[in-house]
Amino acid sequence: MSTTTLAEVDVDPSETAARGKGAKFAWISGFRSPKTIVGIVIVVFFALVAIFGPLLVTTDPSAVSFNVLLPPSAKHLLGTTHTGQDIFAQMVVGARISMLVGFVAAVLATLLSLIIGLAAGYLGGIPDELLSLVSNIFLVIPTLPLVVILAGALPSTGSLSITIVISITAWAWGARVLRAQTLSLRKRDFVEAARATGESTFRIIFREILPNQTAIVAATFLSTVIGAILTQASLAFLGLTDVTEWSWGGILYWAQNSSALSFGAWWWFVPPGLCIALLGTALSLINFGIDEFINPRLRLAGIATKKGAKKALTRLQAPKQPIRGPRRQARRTGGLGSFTRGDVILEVKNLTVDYTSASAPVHAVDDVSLTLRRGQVLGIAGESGSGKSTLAYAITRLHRPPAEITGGELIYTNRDGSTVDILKLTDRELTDFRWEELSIVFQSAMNALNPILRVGAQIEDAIAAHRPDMDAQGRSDRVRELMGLVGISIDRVSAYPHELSGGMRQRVMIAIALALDPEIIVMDEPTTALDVVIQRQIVEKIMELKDRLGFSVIFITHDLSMLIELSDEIAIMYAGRIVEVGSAQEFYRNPKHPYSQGLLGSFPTLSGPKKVLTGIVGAPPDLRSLPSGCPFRTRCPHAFDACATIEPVLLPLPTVEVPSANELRSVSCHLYDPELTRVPALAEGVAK
Amino acid sequence: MTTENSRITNVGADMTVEAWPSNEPVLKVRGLTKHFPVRRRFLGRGPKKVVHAVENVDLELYAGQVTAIIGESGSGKSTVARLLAQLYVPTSGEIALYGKPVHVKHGKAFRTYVGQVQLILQDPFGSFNPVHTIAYHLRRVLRIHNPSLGLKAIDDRMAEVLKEVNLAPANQFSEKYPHELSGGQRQRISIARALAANPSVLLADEPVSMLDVSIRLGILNLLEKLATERNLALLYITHDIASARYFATTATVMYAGELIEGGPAEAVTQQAGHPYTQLLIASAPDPDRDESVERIKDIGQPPSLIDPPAGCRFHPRCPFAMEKCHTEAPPKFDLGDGHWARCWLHESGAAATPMFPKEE
Amino acid sequence: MKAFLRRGLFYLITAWAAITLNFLLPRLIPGDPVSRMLARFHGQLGPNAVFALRKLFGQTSDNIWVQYVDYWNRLFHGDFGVSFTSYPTPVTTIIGQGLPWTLGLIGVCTVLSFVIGTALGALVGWKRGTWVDSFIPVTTFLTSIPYFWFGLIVVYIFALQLHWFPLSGGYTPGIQPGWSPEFVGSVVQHAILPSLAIIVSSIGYWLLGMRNMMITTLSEDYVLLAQAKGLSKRRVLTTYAGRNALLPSLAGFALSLGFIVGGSIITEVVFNYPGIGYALFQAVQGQDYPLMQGIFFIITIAVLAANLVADFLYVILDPRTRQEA
Repeated sequence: MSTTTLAEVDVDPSETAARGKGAKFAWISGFRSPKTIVGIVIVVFFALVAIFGPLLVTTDPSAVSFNVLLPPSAKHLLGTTHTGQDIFAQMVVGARISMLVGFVAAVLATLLSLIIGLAAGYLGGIPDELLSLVSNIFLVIPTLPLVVILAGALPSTGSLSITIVISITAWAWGARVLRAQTLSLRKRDFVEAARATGESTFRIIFREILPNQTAIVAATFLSTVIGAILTQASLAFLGLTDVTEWSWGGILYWAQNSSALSFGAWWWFVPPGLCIALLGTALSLINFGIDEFINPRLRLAGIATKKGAKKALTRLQAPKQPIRGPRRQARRTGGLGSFTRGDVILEVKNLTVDYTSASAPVHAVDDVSLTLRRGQVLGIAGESGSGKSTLAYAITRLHRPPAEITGGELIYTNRDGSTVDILKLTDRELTDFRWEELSIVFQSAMNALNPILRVGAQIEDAIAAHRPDMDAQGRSDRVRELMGLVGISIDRVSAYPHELSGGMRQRVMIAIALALDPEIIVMDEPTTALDVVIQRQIVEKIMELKDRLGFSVIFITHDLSMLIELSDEIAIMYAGRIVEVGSAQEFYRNPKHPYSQGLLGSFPTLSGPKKVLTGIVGAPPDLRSLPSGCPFRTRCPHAFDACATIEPVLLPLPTVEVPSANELRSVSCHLYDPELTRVPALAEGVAK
Repeated sequence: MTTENSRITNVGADMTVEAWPSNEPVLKVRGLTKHFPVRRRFLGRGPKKVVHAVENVDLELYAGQVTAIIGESGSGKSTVARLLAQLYVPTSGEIALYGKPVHVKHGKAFRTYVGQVQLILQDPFGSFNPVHTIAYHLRRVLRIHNPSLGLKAIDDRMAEVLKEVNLAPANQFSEKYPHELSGGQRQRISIARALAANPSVLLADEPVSMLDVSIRLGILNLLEKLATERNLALLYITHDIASARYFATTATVMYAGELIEGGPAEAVTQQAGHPYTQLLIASAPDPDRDESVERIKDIGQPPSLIDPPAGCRFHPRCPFAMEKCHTEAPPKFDLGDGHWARCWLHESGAAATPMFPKEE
Repeated sequence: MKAFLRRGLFYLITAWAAITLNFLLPRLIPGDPVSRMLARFHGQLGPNAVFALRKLFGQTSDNIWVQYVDYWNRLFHGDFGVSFTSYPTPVTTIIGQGLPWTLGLIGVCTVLSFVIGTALGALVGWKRGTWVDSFIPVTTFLTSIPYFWFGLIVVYIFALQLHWFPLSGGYTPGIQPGWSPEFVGSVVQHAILPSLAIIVSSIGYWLLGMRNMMITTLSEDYVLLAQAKGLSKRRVLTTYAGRNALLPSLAGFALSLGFIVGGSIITEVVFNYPGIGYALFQAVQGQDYPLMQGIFFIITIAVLAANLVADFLYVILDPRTRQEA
């Protein structure tokens, strides 16, 4: 369990859109996909046939005639049997029994699954053990032979007995799924909250837990229908049902027993199987829609195309279109490029990352420029949705669709002074470049380590991929050296991730990042999921290694006070933009942007006298509907007219406001623009 | 006033809240202990194992005051909140509300109790059922705790509590589904839901740890304001020791299931008496810290609660551990002004405020 | 190890439940099945067989517990009674004749379809969003086909129309069974059509399941990190994505085995294949209870054994299961 779990929730418009329809039956929105619609149309068609068909078909399906074994014709749409019965009539009448048995058995089985699954999942303990045991036994026992024997033992072979037999043997899978679902829902906070308000157990199960399971119940039900229809067909085919009652399986029974095959009467045995398969396919298609709702990753799979990546690259070449209102033009020449004091290793220039979706693209990272120097720590702070994680992934080009880099440059300077634009690297070049020069540490080490591979092997394979000439002994030595560096005892080299504590796992992540001695390590909230004491250990380890090995760090976090402690330079992000850049200590002493001031005024301090906490009103903005002009103006205590109309850009502060010549400070705020008229008193108050 | 009247009826005829002396705790806990059995399967063998999640905790919550429990994950601080909310049955120990011992598990007595003691959960995203509207959540609480109220009255009360958490106009929020609101708004509604029961005690389990920094302050200020205005006893559970300094009157520190230090928040955070508290303070990010002072380093990790260390549970990590610490659990030592610590270093003769040695 | 013991215990309980069910079923049949049966086999059954029949349906003077103990006793001695339909052949003999055929056909085909389906599923998942996605509707259709019907279709096309393969049976009658090339060739030739029917109609099940797991796994951070580290596509596909996605698939395989094997067994009927599926069909037709019981018993045990193997594989592949608190 993590205490500080302020994870950056990246904007994913497609996901919110799908759930945005709201509430109880949101999964029905999955029904808009063409696949699902085709499925529904087919099922409805068969249902109509089953309900009304027998009333409309005038021919008696059992009536014999002299028109034996006729192929399909206008008179006999599906031909005739060897006794001259009309197969079309049999199919229409048979649809009723096949579907009735299928659906009724599925209703019964689903009810049984619900009762057993909910009871086992909610009660837990011994009832759960027993009910799970029973359902697992029913799952493992081969169903069909059991049904065959049960059906064979039945005194009556009518549809009702067959339906009951099928439902008795078909509930176990659903019960298992629903039990697992109930178990996980029972642990959810809203159930605990309901209990804490004094809600009764009955209401908790039926009003809190059950409505959340509609999608899973529907999916279980549909797959049980398929199974039941298939089972009924098998039993009828084997002659274990009442074969004088027409069903699709029953038609196949007669076809088989009357040697339809050797007569070559394909019209006799093809239609029933085809109808069963079609109906089954239709039900599965509906289930795909539900599956994609339950597991959004499946829905996103379609977006993750090579096409998408190509599109992004071509767009990259095109000049960037201004998307929102007028933007203040940078009039002072030089801009950020002129900050090259010392050794620049990475320059982010006008980087823009969009989230593309059906609706308008969202700029998760909007025209961001940053400079990282050798051996230094560049800290990037921001709240959720500020785009800081998106920026981290974009810098390493590990962003995933629907995120797309739509503009900018990432200029990396090699040790020999030559430069390369990371965004222009081909896939092959990127694979070689990444990890060799630039590596990344993810936020959650638990999720970023392969659960079934020993940690030593996960460090080693990075080396093996980039140093094909190194022998096994060399790699193994390097792994041991790395583990020593990050402070893990060597005997843990053969441990699996789940055997390590959270702090140890994060150390493994750092060892992996260090494997090839990169020049830059991007750290995306590397300590957010850890407790303060462990967090301190990890941060100190990172700083120690940085000083020893001389790499540069881009450190991303929401924890501003920690960032100030460890960064050389700090950048504050808001709504996808950098709103202030400066040296960490100067920034801390004298923040310029009203947002920075608000952020610093939100942190309680431990040492020194208590200060007055000011905080910031309002909430971080929704990137899909940003205010005009400055995105912060709605929360800003100093906003004036120009803020609503002109979008500020990041500009170096006029030298008069910069205390020392060494100080580099840029702010994206109209308060510091002498050419814009404003209430002077306010601005002075801010500058203080 | 109607609210005051209904509170009296909730408590019962034998006590009146107004008459409750302010120097007496509203909720008093003595020796609270919770052991969770380690789940065993069919073939489990050996002695029955338990997780010693909470051990012998004493706690008092006073009306109109904020009491903080500071602890890391796994320290048992959330379990304390759930024990106080009667969601878990204590293994042993006594909880007294308005001086009256509480023994409820379910049914009417449970409802009456939770009407008095309300829990606010950490996760504003998870603590609402996604299939129900905000109004459903709030109406249910009002209905459960005021069965006699009519529909109109319930909706009026709903608007009142929403206004109290600065969400107005009410209808702009009540008909929405949880996912349509921001984290900060949801956490305000969590508070509104707790208020709807008209409680005397609020248990806030990490109420702001999942919120953005810029929003946290607003929520904490709201809670503080409610504690003062409604004269609520507020338990603030947190891992952030700095926020406890600013926000709580009294602070206690929890380690491995035990309270190891307590007292006025300023004293606990500025003159920490227990080595663990000192470690927490040294580890917390703080740009104002004097960087010339070498930071103390930690040894080891929190212990297994299935088999906690004998004596003081912190001794395997403690740089001052003495012979005695390995065998005997330290009692509370008074450090003056209500400040206490469970550490043998404070036994008479030892240093009053030990400091960690510099890094070797 | 402990996890293993627990699974083992579970299988023992399951086996016990199945066997007990086998014991109870004939006793739950209403009316007097024995008299009905005696009338059907009038004069054919010897006094021993009549006695065995009464025993089977619980029509003895012993109380049910004595009967139950007796049932277990006979089970341990491999005595499943005598088949009625091929009186007086013992049930064990009939099962012994059919079992190798079924194990050879169904066993091999089930494993093959799992392996091929899972491998294809991993590829389709890996190449998500490309043309391979168009496989999905086709595969869905295949999974919805009744096994036996697909059997009919392949027989019609490949045996009756094209005459490429024999129509039915396990081998050409007249050839002396043995390890002669002639016999083996004939067996293989006869097995191709039923194998095709079984594999084609069950492969989609594994393919779709694995594809979905693969897509879910591919969005895991550890896969992203593996790509970032610059590992070869093959290593990411196999060691990082594939092996993790395989785990739920394998668990599903164990649990669905009963279902799949049940469906495959009916395929034997279509091909008059000399396995125990066909024998079961004949037993049900002839109301041959001892044979039905014996076959159900042997199928259950076989499925349980296969489950145990799948569990064993799972433990090998997932280190997390090895650590039990």
